[in-house]
Amino acid sequence: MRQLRWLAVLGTAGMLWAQQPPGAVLQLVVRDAATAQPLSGATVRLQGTVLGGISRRDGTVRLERIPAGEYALVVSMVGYRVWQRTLRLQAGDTVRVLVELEPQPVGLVPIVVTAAKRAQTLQEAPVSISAVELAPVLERSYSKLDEVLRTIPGVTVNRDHVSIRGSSGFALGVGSRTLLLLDGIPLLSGDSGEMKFDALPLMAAERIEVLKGAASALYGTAALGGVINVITREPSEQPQGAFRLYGGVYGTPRFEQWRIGRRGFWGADLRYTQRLGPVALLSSATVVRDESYRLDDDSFRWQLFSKLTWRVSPPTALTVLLQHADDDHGNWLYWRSLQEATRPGNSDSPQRVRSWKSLLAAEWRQFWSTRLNSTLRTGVYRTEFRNRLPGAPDTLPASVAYSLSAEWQWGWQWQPNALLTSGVHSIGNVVEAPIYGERRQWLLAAYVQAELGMLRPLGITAGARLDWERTQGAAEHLELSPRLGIVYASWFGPQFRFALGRAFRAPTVAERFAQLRTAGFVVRPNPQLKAERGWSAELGAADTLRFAGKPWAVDVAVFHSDLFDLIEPGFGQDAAIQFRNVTRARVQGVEFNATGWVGPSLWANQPGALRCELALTLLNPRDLSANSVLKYRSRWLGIARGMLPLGFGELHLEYRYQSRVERIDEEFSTLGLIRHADQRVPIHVVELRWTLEGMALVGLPVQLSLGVRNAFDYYYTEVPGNLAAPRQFVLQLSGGW
Amino acid sequence: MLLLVLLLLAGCGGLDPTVLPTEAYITGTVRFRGAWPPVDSLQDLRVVAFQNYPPQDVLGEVLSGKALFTAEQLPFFVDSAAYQLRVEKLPVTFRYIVVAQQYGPDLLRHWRVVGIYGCPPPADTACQPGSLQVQEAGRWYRADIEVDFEHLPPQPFP
Repeated sequence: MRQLRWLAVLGTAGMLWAQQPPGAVLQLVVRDAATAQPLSGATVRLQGTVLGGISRRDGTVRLERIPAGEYALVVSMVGYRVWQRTLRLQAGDTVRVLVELEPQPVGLVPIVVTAAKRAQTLQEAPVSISAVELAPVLERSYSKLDEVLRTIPGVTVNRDHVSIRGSSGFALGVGSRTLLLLDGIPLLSGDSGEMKFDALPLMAAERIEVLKGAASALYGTAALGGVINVITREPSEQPQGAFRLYGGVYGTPRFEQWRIGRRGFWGADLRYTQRLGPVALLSSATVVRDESYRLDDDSFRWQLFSKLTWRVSPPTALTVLLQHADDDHGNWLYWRSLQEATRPGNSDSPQRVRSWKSLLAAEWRQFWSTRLNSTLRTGVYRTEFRNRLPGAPDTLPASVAYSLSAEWQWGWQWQPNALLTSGVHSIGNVVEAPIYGERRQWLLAAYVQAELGMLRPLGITAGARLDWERTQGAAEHLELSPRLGIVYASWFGPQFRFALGRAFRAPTVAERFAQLRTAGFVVRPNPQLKAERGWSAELGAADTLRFAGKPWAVDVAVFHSDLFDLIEPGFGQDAAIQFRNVTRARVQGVEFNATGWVGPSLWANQPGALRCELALTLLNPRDLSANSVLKYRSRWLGIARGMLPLGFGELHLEYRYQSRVERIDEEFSTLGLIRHADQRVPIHVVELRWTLEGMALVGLPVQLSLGVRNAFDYYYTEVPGNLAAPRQFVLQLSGGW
Repeated sequence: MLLLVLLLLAGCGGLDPTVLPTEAYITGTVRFRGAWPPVDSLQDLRVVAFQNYPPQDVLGEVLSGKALFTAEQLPFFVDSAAYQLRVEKLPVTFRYIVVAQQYGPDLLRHWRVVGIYGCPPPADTACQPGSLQVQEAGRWYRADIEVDFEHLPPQPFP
């Protein structure tokens, strides 16, 4: 009955749309101002409406049924300055516009959406944001989110934990201090608050935004260290398809003890997008098989993703996301010893772990006027995992969890330079698992944020969010998370930013109620856990400088976080693990990013021979409770990247560095749980890649890529007892039509 | 050029299963209670591990390397502090692991024991200090020590 009512509402809306007058038509041609070549992939938006599109291969975009009125037309594209004009349209008009985008060689992504829950330029955001375009990343045969995150400055991945500027350690994925979003929909599991890296549809993604620092003022729980928002592509105006096929082998380790025979991996992705009238569809499919370089660690996974966008009317759009991922992998936990680092040490390694991740989400965006809009965003994220051993009784660890999210957000531009963003947000976690029991966790929140630009060149952002959390069997609590941000565009060039905010993370069901015995570990519940809290501040400056006549985008940020009651797994006297509020921590640091060109220009439209990206993060992560360094943090993080265009392709080099982790959980060793648990070294990883453009060589829209990951075959661990992947050779063919 | 330097820095190497650790570690947390002594009596504060109990020749054991002590002094006026000791000659048994405070200017004479592993305060002369057998290379051994400045344990020094 309820479904019928929904269909009736949607049907009525569709009829209203069909009865509307035809309106105006806008025909655009987007091209490079320097070369006059058409640009495909540029984003075209009519501000104040949901109308927009992506430029086709010939640079054209056509927008139809535009109601009469005055609009701001905004065109943006990576590597180009944002283009904006005001247009006055009459019903029946057909207006042709030539858009010439000025190259912005530093390659900054101009538009981000995570800092303020709305589209804004990167320069408007008062916090540090790394925005990564997915198209170049997909050339590297990456298939999981963690592989991408390792290449982002200031971000490290400790197996299942993402740490932004030292915010997190290692707890087998439980209790992420970084919030993960897919198009703004929370994507942490309802039981353990864990990121499932394989659940993200990278093939359908356009970019990943990483907001660094406390962000609970807008996002609530889990945004203690920052927010990762995976933004999917907009469906294109014309039918478009893309594919990616890759395969590779793991190199033979130098040490006889580690050899387990030739192992490899392969993967295939497909993406298709098409618009049929007001409805547009984007779908992707992924399948990956990895034999692994370690025994009992192989995996097979697949994933389907669809995004449906329906322009109900010019000011109204409905977007539906559907995703399902299936993963079957070995139950590898840690090595047998350093001598047998490719053989499992946990006795339950013959088990297999099967997991399913499904998302159904919808977003209803309504522009009530050019000054007022609302977005209703809702989703259900289901996660399930099940350990199994063929022939054994069904008593192994398993869990089914639902995370429900509903958010109603309003944006009101009450003055030309003043914007108010407010909303209410509800999250419900429903867990059914023998290891956690049947649990319900609810979070209700309201937030408001004002962005004031009337004091230009000063921009001020201020806001707060109030969260109420209730979990069955635990005390309820309130959390107030205020935030202040200031942006100042100085008269002498640099742009300065300052951000101060409070954040919190409510304990997950797993942290409070886990009770299990697995792989030699005993885990005990602790329902008295309190929420983690923290304050973080950042002072940053960005500018474009010229070195040897070449433009370089330079960004420096100094940051400070004070963290209270951090939840860490600790070992009790009887060697049982229990999550406790034990750690009072302080993380201070400096982050430096620079992007630019060196050498003489060899090709048209490129200001230099070699494009370089350099990033260095210095951390001082202190555990104030133990008067020592925080566990699982490196003091130095560095990335150096070079791209050499060759006309018919490109050569890529990347070097990633992490200084040696100074402290781990000594109990892995003192209790004899993992042999040689303390064996760790600094991380030096070099990746080389050679890409050939089929269009330039044979006139086909394909790309061939040959890569060598960990080219120097450097052996290291990220977490105790886990040898990272040795050298890998990868061949990839990709293309589109 | 910079990239080239970084690439050269990367080099080959990393973990090597043919070069196994030859040393072990004693690690733990020292928890402090009671009012800290005046700052002018806090010349130094270290964890020291002796093989004999009671120590026969404190100075001799330290100088000969039979007794191990933390390379850096423990922080003052804190609630707790983590420490670690590197043990190179294995196997070995430490029968007396203590937190020692240098309270005066004489480096050889002005020392007192303020906490003993296995003897949580208040400890009397009947308390038998904890013994720690360090046998396996590459492994960490845990010894947490409690210090109460208002209830000092029995002193081994004359």
